[in-house]
Amino acid sequence: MQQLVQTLLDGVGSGMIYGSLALALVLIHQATRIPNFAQGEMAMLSTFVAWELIDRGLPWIAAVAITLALSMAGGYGLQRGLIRWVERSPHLTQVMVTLGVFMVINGVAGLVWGYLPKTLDGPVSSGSLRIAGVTTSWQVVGMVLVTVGMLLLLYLLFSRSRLGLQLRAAAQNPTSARLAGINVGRAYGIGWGLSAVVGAVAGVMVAPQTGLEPNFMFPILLYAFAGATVGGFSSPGGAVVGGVLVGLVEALTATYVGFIGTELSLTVALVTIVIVLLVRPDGLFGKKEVARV
Amino acid sequence: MLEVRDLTVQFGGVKALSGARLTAERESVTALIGPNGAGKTTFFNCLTGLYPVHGGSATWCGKQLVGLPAHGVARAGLSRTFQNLALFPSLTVLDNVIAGAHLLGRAGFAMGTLRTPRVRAEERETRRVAEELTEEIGLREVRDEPVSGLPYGTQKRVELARALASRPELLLLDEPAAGLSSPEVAELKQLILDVRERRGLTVLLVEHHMGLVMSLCRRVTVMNFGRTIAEGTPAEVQEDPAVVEAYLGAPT
Amino acid sequence: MSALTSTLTRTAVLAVMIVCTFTVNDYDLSLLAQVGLTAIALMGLNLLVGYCGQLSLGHGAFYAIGAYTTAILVTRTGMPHLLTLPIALVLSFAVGAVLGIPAVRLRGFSLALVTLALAIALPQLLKHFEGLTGGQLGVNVPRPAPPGALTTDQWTYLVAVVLAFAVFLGVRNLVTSRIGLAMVTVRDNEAAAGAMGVPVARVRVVVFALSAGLTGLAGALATLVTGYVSPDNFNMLLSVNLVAGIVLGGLGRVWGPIVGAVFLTYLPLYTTDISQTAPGIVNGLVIIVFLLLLPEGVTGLATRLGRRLRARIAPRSTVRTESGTGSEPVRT
Repeated sequence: MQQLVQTLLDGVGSGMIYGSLALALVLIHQATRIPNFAQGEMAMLSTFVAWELIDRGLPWIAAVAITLALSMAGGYGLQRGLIRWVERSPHLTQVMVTLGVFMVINGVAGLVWGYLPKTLDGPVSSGSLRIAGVTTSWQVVGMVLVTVGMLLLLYLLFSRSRLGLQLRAAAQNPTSARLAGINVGRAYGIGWGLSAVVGAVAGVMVAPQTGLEPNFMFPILLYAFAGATVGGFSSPGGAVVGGVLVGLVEALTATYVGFIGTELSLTVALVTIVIVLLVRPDGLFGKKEVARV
Repeated sequence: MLEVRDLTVQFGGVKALSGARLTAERESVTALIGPNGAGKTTFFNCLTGLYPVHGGSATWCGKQLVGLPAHGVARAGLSRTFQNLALFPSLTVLDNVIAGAHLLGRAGFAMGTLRTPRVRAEERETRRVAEELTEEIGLREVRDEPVSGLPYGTQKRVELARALASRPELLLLDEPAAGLSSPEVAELKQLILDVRERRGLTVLLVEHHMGLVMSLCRRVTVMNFGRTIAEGTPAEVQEDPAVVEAYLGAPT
Repeated sequence: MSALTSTLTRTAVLAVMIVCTFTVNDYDLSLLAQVGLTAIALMGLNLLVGYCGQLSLGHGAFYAIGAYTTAILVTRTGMPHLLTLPIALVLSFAVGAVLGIPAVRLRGFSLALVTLALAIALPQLLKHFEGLTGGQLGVNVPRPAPPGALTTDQWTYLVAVVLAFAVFLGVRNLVTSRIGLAMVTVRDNEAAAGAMGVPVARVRVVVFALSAGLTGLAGALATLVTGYVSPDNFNMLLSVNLVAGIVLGGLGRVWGPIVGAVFLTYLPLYTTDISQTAPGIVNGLVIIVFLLLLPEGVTGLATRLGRRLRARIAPRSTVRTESGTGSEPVRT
């Protein structure tokens, strides 16, 4: 029983990370109808920036704050400087361009920081915590709290603020939004900036556990895609729930299904994606898309 | 004969079609009319297997169309054009028409890779059919041009030629006159009559151009809010109070 | 081209290939073999991306499946090397079909997603089944014994380039055939393709499986050339490099994969002096820059320039636009 509760807790903890990155993917997909395959690498780059700042002596909190600001600017700049030029191109082209970004970021990070894993410290002690006989770490508690807080902020931003309204309008109907005087280009840029920030938060939270090297986001990106597929690419809330579900599945299969363990965890994500696509292609919470002819 | 009964489709909770019915005799020209949003294009999309159908039946000469995938419907002898042109933009006019003749060929992946003499003969034959068609529809001058740069009216002709290339028995035209000038509409009318005459085609068209509908069709079906509200000759439906109400609103 | 000239051209190409076997040194031959097998993989990927309009981010995984199939069959069962090639092709084809069935029916990027997942998951899978795959260390595969007086490099070169030539002819036939035209219609307008009687889902699944099979064959040939397989050679980046290769060569163009293969083979030789990661950066930039500025690729540019040149030399004779259906570029 205790082991089960603990497994579930671990699952929720990593699921929150997957959910965050899945949310970042869905935010961009909502706005521009493309999946951003460079999302994981953008988060990796942000995490390296945070590491570099801490390494140069900045306090953790200041380093992360600067990183988030830079991520916002970077995401905005990437959309305005590059992605906007393929906005009208076929999806195939758009997706391939994000793939090019993926390669460039990955290569540049390898060039600058090399492939030896670095350790990034978390803000809280890595000590453990016992509640009602269940052992968990402060890191897991921290991840859950941070993600929930971030989701709350995003929810408020999108549902209560003027900016949020503009972003939603630009995403749903760019032409009408433009007629209503909304700067759609800026809105898309902010959308990319926000998802870069969300990715950065995920990267900074997960790096203390996994170690930091240019390829460290590959598996996280895979889980995030699995989460977004489970939740449905048209549902931001669903993406988070989907991420948590994937985290739970990963933790449960690793603990209870002997031959899977942690070594086949990525295959679990692959199988999850294929099964969801077969059984419920629009995910648990997604809206069915009807092709217009 | 085309017989559609109680066709029902819903998107989410919204019924886009509920109890749409229509009959069209062989070799007739029938029009499907109705106010914007009445469900005419949805009706076409359901007949041709693009949207899943939730109830009802549609038969062409006894062959059930409901449940067939789009290419199955094409095999059953139906062919169509689209409301907003759906050409293959990277191909030339002739290649668009050859693509329309897909069902005339047999060569599959293996045969295509080996390019046997039989495949070559088949390709020559398809090409000849397509060339004749471009001639017939008046596209000879633009035959080798990429389709994407052509004027709208010409593109609509290409779509018609492409739809005829599979040698269909039933031709569905979705707003063939939309966006055409009035001399072009007159030409179109003649063209439709000619191709029908020569091929023994049955034609079903969705159209807003009432002049064209009244002069071309012997039977008219009127839809509103996803259901059929009247069927009859052009004169009959024009008199029908339900039709008048649909177009002009209820008398207050 | 008349039947006679095409037969003559084919014979001439084969003759050049054979002459090269004896005049080029072993090191350059192994590079040319690499060009040949990479071209096979790219021709497969080009069928999928260039002609059918579907993206795969996991073709590195099929390359790996082919490579491991040959490695395991040769080392475990002692099967002759050449016999393992068709098996590698069929196996990759089958895996492609199984994954393609759920993926290609759905929205545009589902296939990209599933193949990405496969590419990320595969190295871990290969390490896990250590008994079969040699785990992290990989497998050393004895190189094939050459017939007659040939060296091993000469022999593997011949096998690779002759197969590449055969695949080239087959693919060129296919894309100009009725099915090739159907692929382009599926890419250009799915709804209209269906209405013309093209079984859209089936075309996509078969093309995906076929492209997976060809890439698997390329992987199997790679094992013959290098004599070694290891899980970390088949990571995500390999898949993206392959995409860069077809983008550079020209999407949906028969000659594109050849140019792409030359580029992918020789690029690392010149750039790894700068950094191990330089080829990745260059390939990423290639994808971005070509899609933005030169979407028709190097071969498209060459065709355009050639046409202009011919028009200048012979201004009277009208230069016919290339009507070979498959050779049109992906529209952007």
